[in-house]
Amino acid sequence: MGESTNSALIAFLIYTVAVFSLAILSGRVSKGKEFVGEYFLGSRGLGMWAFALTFAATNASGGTFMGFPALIYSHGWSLAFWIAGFMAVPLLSMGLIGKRLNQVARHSNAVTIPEVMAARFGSSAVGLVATSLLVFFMFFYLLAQFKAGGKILSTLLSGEPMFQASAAMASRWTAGLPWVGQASGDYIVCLVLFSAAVIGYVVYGGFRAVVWTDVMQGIIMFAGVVIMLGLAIYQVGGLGNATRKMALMTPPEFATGRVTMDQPRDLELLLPKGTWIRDNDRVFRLAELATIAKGQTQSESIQFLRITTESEAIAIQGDAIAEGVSVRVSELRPYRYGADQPGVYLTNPGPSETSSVGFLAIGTAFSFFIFWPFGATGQPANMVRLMAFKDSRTLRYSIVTVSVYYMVIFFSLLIVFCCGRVLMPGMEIDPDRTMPELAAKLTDNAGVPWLAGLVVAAPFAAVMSSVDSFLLLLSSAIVRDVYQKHIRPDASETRLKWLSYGVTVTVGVFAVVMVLNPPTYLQDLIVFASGGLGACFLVPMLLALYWRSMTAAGMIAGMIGGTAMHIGLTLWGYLDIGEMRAYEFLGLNPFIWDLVASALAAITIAKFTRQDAQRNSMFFD
Amino acid sequence: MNHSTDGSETMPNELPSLLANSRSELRWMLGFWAVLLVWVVGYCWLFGYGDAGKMEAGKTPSTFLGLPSWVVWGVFVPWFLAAVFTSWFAIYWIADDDLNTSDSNTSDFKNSDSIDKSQDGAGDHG
Repeated sequence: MGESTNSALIAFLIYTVAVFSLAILSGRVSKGKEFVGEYFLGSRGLGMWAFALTFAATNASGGTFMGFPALIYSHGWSLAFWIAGFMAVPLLSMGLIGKRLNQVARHSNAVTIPEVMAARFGSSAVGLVATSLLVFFMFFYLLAQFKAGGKILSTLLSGEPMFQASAAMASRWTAGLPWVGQASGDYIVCLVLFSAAVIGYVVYGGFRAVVWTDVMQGIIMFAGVVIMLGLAIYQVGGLGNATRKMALMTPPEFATGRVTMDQPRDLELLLPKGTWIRDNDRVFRLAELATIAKGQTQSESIQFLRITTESEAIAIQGDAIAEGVSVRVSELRPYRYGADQPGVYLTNPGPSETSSVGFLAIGTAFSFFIFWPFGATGQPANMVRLMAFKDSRTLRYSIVTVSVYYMVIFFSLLIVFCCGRVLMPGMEIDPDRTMPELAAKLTDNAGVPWLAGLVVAAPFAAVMSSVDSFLLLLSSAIVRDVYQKHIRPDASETRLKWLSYGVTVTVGVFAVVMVLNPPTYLQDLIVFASGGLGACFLVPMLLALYWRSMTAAGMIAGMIGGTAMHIGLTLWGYLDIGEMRAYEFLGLNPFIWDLVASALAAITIAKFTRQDAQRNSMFFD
Repeated sequence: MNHSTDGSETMPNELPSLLANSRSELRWMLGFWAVLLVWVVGYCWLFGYGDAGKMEAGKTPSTFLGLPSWVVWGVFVPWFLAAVFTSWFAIYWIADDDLNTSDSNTSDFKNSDSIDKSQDGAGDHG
């Protein structure tokens, strides 16, 4: 990856300069405008391209460009069914509440989601509950995205000598420190670089900088996947060829064993992770570093991947470094679904290493068709953007833009990474590296390694565009909804300005310190937080905007009802399987039960509590 | 339909046009989503499951334009049509409502005191 890594470094530097240039430019545009409205909402003046691309980019987090490709690679075409609900995301997440939310926010001069809710009912209790739940769930989300940013940057720069030297230095400096000392040097360097860049431009430019950089990031994502699509189809020999080869594939087997040699060596032998070993007609790939010490004939027990697809096993040559090495397997672990089944990558439910019913049972697929569009509608980061477009026409044409954008992005990702299965076997050892590895391979094969820089910048841009939005959302909740509403309603512009800067930096730095030593169950916390946000805000917001009989007590009941069900199912899952995964009652995604609980609680309580006729009149007549 | 303050339902009379339009558009959007749900989940359930293990070496699976047929007819085609419908709906159906850009009520809600005071004002029971 030598040339590609240099390209990645250069692309990253250009990218960072561009981000800061946009932030400085946006800071100049913002001068002279009312601070809070400008800093947190861009003065509600977003035009079509800015609104459409910031909406699209915020939705496409690191998961879209790192996690989703890894899932396609591991489970094949079943991911098309899994993600299909996204076809309704543009219309529903922007159209269901877009105009009405924007109108209510303008009418009440609200800048944040809790503020809209509080103003609709004239209840500070509604605002406080909404702020508390938003800060609670959002913080987990922010942690996860910071960690993803550090990891992606680490992947991009891993082969760069200057970066390796910095990482080694960071390791030495932090080795004895509590909390920080457990993190690897490369991760620390990348996390600090990434965080400094994001916090810097968010503090300087506020919402407008976030939107402008989102636009650039959205364009980079789009260009990256379209370039990869062309290269992948060409190099795999056409879609038909890719499908025919996938039809012959069977899932690999995970194995535990030792690397052995006939004779002891004079020197230590190091076989890096990813080394291919051909042992007669068997082909293995190392899932971790193997070491045969001087004078020894075998390594410690390590993890392997054994290729089971016959055509791949014939085609793969062992790496030169592993010549004369053989493998003694002590344990083989075939996939629980799909082992020895050719064609399993072309159909549902798709192969699964852990589940005996496959990757995508029909109940799960049904749940995701509900989860994607309605979950996106309930995300506060999306809602706050719906408060910022300048007129209805902007919303209408942005829906069209986002609709085409997502269709191209997701069709391309599905095709590219199914082709990736054919072009690049053995990535099951580290599926999250599928995206950068395939980008490097495609561009190297095409003789344009410099393009890898642009392509691999896509996932980085995706994470950055999500982190900046979440960071601003959190600081707006604290400054606007807590400080300005409840502590100092008469605070001056200057005071609010410096407080906003201070809170943004403090939240960012606190999040960075937390993820320097992230909990092992962080990935589960992401699922917990994203589902929780949707469960908490979707139904109450819909009812607040469209149902005249909704009351403040109903709002609070709806938010707490959805949250309680979410936490309850998560606890049930923990007691049932010992992991922080929500229990799937009747095989359905917990999000569905969260929505049911939220709706029941909100409507029932609203029916039995007092309405505010004056407020209703303000927003409905 | 609209709920009156005594809990009964009445026809909307003087609702702002944006609210009325948004409610109507919301119903169309949910209906459209339901159609997609039936098509995509129904088609993929019927035709996208169950071929695993039946592929024989050298045998080509059912494909269309080089892609598995169930992906084309169960996901890509409805997705494309969803994009077409979404564009048509957004351009020709969603109303160009006024968003209250020259609002006059903004000062009513600027601090929590005004919010709490107004909550204590006259209300009625739902």
